[in-house]
Amino acid sequence: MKDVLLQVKNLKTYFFTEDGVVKAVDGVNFEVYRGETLGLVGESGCGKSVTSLSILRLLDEKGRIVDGEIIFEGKNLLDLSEEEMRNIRGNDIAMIFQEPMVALNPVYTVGDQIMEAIILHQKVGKNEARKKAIEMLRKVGIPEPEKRIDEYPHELSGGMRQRAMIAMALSCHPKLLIADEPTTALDVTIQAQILELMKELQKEFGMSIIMITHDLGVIAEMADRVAVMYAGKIVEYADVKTLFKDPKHPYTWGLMNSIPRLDVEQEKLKPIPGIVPDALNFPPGCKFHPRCEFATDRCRSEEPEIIEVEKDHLIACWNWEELEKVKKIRRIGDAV
Amino acid sequence: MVKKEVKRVVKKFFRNPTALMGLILLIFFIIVAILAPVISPPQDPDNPYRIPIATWSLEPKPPSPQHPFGVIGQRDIFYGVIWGTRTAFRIGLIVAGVSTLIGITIGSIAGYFGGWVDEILMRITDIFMSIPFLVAAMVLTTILGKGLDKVMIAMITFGWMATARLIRGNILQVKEEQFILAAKALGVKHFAIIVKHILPNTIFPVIVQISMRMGSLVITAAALSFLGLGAEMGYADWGTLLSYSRNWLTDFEKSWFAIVFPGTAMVLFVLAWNLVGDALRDIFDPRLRG
Amino acid sequence: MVSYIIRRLLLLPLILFGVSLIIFGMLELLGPDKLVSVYIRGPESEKVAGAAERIIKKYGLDQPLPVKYAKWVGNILKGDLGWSLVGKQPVLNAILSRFPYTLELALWAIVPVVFVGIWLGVVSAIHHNRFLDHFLRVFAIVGWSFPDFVFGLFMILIFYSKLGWFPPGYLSYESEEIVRSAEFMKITGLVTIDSLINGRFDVFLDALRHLIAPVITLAYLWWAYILRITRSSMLEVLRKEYIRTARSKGLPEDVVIHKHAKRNALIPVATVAGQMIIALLAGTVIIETVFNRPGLGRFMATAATQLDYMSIIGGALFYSLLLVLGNLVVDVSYAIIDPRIRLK
Repeated sequence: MKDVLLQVKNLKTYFFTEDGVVKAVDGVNFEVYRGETLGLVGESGCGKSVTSLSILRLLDEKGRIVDGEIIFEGKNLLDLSEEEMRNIRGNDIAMIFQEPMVALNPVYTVGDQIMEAIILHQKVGKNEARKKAIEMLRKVGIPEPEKRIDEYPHELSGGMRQRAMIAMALSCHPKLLIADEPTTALDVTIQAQILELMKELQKEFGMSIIMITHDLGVIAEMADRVAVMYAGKIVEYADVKTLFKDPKHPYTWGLMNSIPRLDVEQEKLKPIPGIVPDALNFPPGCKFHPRCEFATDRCRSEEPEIIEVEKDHLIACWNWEELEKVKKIRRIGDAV
Repeated sequence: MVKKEVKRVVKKFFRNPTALMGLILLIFFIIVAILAPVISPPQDPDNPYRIPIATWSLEPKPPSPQHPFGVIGQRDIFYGVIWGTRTAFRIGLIVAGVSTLIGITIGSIAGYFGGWVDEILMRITDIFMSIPFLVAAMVLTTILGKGLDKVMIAMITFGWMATARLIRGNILQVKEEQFILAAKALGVKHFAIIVKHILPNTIFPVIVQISMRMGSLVITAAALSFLGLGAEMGYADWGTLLSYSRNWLTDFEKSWFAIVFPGTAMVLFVLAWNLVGDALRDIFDPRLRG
Repeated sequence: MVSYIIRRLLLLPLILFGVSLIIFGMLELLGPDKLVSVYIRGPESEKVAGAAERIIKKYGLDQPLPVKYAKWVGNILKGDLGWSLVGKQPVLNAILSRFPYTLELALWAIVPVVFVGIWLGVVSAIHHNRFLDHFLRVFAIVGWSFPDFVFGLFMILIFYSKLGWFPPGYLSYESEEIVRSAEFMKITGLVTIDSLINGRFDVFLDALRHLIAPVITLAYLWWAYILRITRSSMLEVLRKEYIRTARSKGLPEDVVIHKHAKRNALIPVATVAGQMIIALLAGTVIIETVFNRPGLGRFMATAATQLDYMSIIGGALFYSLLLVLGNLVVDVSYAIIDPRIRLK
């Protein structure tokens, strides 16, 4: 059995807004093994970012974790004091965000922001921290790190900024890195470079990564296992090869149809019809049914639980057996 | 779109206790202003804003059944406070209304046409903002001569710039949006574009600004009256009433009522507008929208 | 940043030119006859036969507008702002001799306003939507709604008329005698500093006693204002992603707030600080009158009621100059705080 680093059990994170309760994450289960990358994929608003913020307990004042456990190296993070939690943030679990533009403080130099974490967690002096920061900047491929360290975020290009973010996140050699859409804001060539860099550093430091994205291309590139999220729940959970070869949930099919493929002849890219439902008024039954062409009466009234249908392949769909036939006809999967 | 927005605003507004308090205060002042002839019937119906002489003695008189707020400068303070409500509304609404119209016009032209037109108009705006408002209003009032109408002219002359900047900024933002481009492509005239498409989109911030400015406008007018530059002696105006107390300040017994009653009326009046304006701003401020 | 400052400096003459045009325009509203009579109200020596003609010639009153404007500006640049009726001296001297009193009052007010206002705003933002925040919000909006002169009148009523603690005026009679005496060195013109230099603590304390009420009156309104701006700016910044980044590094909350949030939140506060300093100076017009303190403000108010046009025009020019220079200083310091502007 592989070694579990993080286990999320029945996580429920709700937002208590003026207009009502938003169930952003509603009963999510997954685990992350040491050294692996777990992909968390879904459209925006599906709860994947809230899940990651819940792990670090960085929700804003309206959001509350109402139920569940987040077990990291045997400790439930939800039972820790704020002080103990701070020792974990940046040190054992680090995070990088989507927009390096807004995720770095504009009024402090890049170096200052990297050194801050090093001084805090590694209890070293300023000079030592500076050396380590320069070393980190070099590792993430920033040229002339001795000079760049004293520059402000706006003086760096988008790609350089994201590299600096990564340097900052990895400066204390975390065991788990949560990357929330780390490449979405960057253009394609730089995207590939950053992903490559992350893979290299993962090997070097032996850390685990939770890769949050809406982009199955990134998942295919990076992830070992994948959890597909929809409307606050995981609807399909499998290792990356299985998922691409044998996707079972109609939502996953939709996601796959909406990315371009070179190997299979496609009529055209088909976005999933409809929109992510309003979190204040989720439909009854399966939350995906208004957008699902295979929805039955049962789907409209009863919500499916996620079950293991094959070894290590979990999905939440009433009709998955029926859909296996459809899949053959439509030649879905077999892509990777 | 506008209709839905109004509905949202009303809903949010009534959920906010301080906003409701402001609204209630404001309605109270409106009722007082409307019913002034009933509450305090004027002696000379042709000249209701002149506070009638209550006594020939120069000594202030503390509140009594005949003069519930007391007497100062030979005038009945109660009468002055009641009719002063009308004066306050008149000053605030006229100055805010006219200066906003000027601001909208200048801001629309600058924002819509852009280029050198914008450059010139905005530099003029900067220049007008380079004279402190109170000082500018004071100088112009002095030169034009005493009287509330002069005060209002002075305040309008130096009071349009904030609106102009606001409107210009909003127009620049809205201008790029699709439907304006569409209207342009269809060959709709400049003027029609501004009036029909751009202004409705910027109207809410302007309303917020007006309600936020009402208070400070009434304060400035009252300050000028207090300095002896605004309303003439005996005019029902809160600032003028307060100025009477200046000679008696050292004697608590002879001056407290002349400060407390008109002063409280003013504070509540300004507070009412600020509470309403503050609530509206919170509702409209997109950054605070949840 | 240098080019930014240069651009700002180049704009300065343009703004000053515009301001002078507006003020000249206001003066012109008096009409030609009145203008002559205004200018002729000079010192006694000028009131001789043929004075009117000399005045008309000197100020170009019979000339077309551009010439008249040029002569007017020319005289101003030479430091000739006309004769002050109220001050019984040249307007420039009248203004300069009264300005230290006003400056002293404003300086005393700025310190508490900035420090207390920002502190309250940060506190309010940290306690967002909790009791303290609601309390401070009410405090702010009531404060902002209190007209300064009404507040001043209440202050006098309570702390002088009723309690006898803080008298209006500038100094007590005895202190004023000391300050006027020959051995009292006047170095800065600010009595609170000069008294310390002279080692007269009694005068210093007396000056403070007279300063407390007007300083509070000037300050409370801006406390409220700075509080509100700091609060909303802090709230906005606290929602920013770089704050989440800072927290994700495991920084303690006070480092997140005082290092990462505050510096960003203070940028918009710095822009209004300039406005505020000018408004504090302009606010002295009415506060000095209410508290019966000497200074430029009361001078302006007295000049206005006595229709001393030269004095108020001169005062308006002086205040505008302060405002324009003040804004320049603010823009430059704004650029220093925000590296995004500094390095452009």
